[in-house]
Parts: sequence; structure tokens; C-alpha cells
Amino acid sequence: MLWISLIGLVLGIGLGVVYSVPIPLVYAKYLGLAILASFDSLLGGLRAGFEHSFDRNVFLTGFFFNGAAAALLSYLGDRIGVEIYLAVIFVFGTRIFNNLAVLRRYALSWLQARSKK
Amino acid sequence: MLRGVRFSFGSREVASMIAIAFVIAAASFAGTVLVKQRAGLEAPPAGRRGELIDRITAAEAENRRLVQEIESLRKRLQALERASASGNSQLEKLNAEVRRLRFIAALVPAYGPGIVLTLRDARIPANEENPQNYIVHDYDLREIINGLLAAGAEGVAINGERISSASSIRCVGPTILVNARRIASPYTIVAVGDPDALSDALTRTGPASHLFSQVFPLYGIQFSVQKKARVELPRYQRELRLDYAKVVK
Repeated sequence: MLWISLIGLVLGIGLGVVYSVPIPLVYAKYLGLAILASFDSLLGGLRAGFEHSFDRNVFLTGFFFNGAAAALLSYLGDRIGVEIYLAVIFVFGTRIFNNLAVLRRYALSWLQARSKK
Repeated sequence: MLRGVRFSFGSREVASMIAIAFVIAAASFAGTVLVKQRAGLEAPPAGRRGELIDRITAAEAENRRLVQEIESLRKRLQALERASASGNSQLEKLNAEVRRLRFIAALVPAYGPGIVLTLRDARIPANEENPQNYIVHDYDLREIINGLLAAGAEGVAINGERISSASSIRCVGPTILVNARRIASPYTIVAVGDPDALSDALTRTGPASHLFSQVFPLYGIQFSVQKKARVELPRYQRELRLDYAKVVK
């Protein structure tokens, strides 16, 4: 069922290349942070899929809520002079690497299981 | 822990798949847009840069043409003024007064004895921490002009820009604007007046003399002062405008 994600990926990049949406520079940073958070959700969903615990609602709410929270908290932090965006980078950065490590293990055991056959 | 390595979305509902595809599409779209925007910010495409250079060159050519047009129109205007005044003693008197005032206001070219001062930025040594010291600044030029006027200069021009009552000498980034026109080293300052008095005031007694005795030699900024029996001043190119001020009666 992974091919459906690939279709989404290709579609999104294609649309992004063709259509330009000017993002005000002030907000570009928050969009970047939202993308970071969403990327973590994507990897989390992939991992959940391998662990047979994928739940559509958990995935969707996590994706949008984390993205929005990362952007909004960073924005709020910048308003009050506290660099909350560092926390976003730290938390989601760490989680992304954790998820990647787990996914790598699944990929390895999948490859080993295949070579044994 | 591993229940066999198989990927599963739990239920294979179409809705799940569509949701996932949509979410990934949204994220990759936003990411691509952001990457594109950042790339555009960091390096303006060569095509656009070339286009901008072309537009500047075209605008500058148009500017030069318009300056020439203004000049010829001014000549025609003055010829018409003279022609329409001839024969009428009242108008002739007024016309002479207008010409005199234009002359005082630096609105016509002038000549007379004076000095020519040239200044050239020094070569900035490698690894120099403060390259600012090695170049001629707007405030240097202002000080020199003030010194010349204080010493009785009747007209001054820098690189062909006549100093009038409405002139400005400003620093904008790495260049100096005189009358809002960009000028650069070497600077040629022409002043009409008593050559000896001007030269003396400039380099020995005036407010700018410390530049010539200390600052310029220290940093290697080259200068030369020549006394001349005849120097020429261009006219002030812009309009002297008073939009808000009114005559006190």
C-alpha cells in the first residue's frame, strides 16, 4: 500500500514545481517548521504501518495538529521574544532521527528475511 | 516485537489511502514551494539579472537624452525671452535682472579664475581592518566645499555637478551622490574665486586643512591643487523649486 504515498509525493512536488504560491518572508520560517513537524508525522505513520498499529485518525490529527502547533508556538514565541522554534527543531528533529532509525531496522530485517528465502 | 515485516495500514479502506495521499501531497507541495522560494531568494536567476541590467542601461540612456532635451529647451526659452523683450525697455530691464539672478543662483554656466582640486581614493591594503579610512567620504567633500565657500569661492562644482543653494552631498552605500547623481573617485572639484586665497584656505588655514595636512597623507589619498587663470563651471542641472514657501509681504 506504499505506492499510494508515492503518488501523493509525486503529485505534491509536481504541483509545487508548476504553481508558485508566494509566501511572505515573515511566515516562511513558520511554514518550514510546520513542514518539519509534518515530516515527523509522516515517518511516524510509516513506522506505525510496519508495526501494524496504523490508525488513520491518529495519523491525520497528528499530521495537522503537530504542524499547526509547531508553527503557532514558534510564532507566539517570536512575538514574546522566546525562541520556542528551537524546541520545535529539537523535539521533531530528535523524533525524525528516532523514526528513521526504527525504519532502517525494519528495512534491514525485511531485506534479511528476503535473502533467506 | 516484530510480527513479521509487513507494511499495513490496518484497514485497507479507500478513505485511508486517499487521506494519506492527500496529506503527503500537501506536505510535499508546501516543501517544494518553500524550497523554490528560498532558491529564488539566494540567487536571482541570471536571466532576470541580465534583464534588470538592460532596463537600467536603457533608463540611463533615456535619462541622458532627456537631459540634452532639457538643455536645448532651456536655450530656446532664453532666446525667446530675449527676442520678446527686445524693443521694450521695461521688459529688457526685467530680462537682464532675470539673467543676473540666474547667474547668482548657479543656473547658468560660469567661468573665472580659480582652482582645480583632484582627489583619488587610496589603494586599500590587503587585510586592512578598516578600509573606510582609505576612501574619500561625503563628509570630506562637504568639509572641503564649506571651506572653499568660506574662503570666498563664488561657484563650486564636483565632477561636473554645480553646487547650488539646493545641492546635496550624500553618502549612499559605497557611492556618493551629489545633486542626487552618483559620482566616484577620482573627484575633481572646481572653484571660481581668488586662486591664492582658495588654495591657502583649502590646504593651510581653512576648516578642511587638517584633511590635507594629516588625514589624506596618512592614508595615501592622493590630491593635487592647481591654481588656474580660467576654470569653467557647469550650470546646476536641476530645477530650483519652492513648493511650500511663500514670499513674506
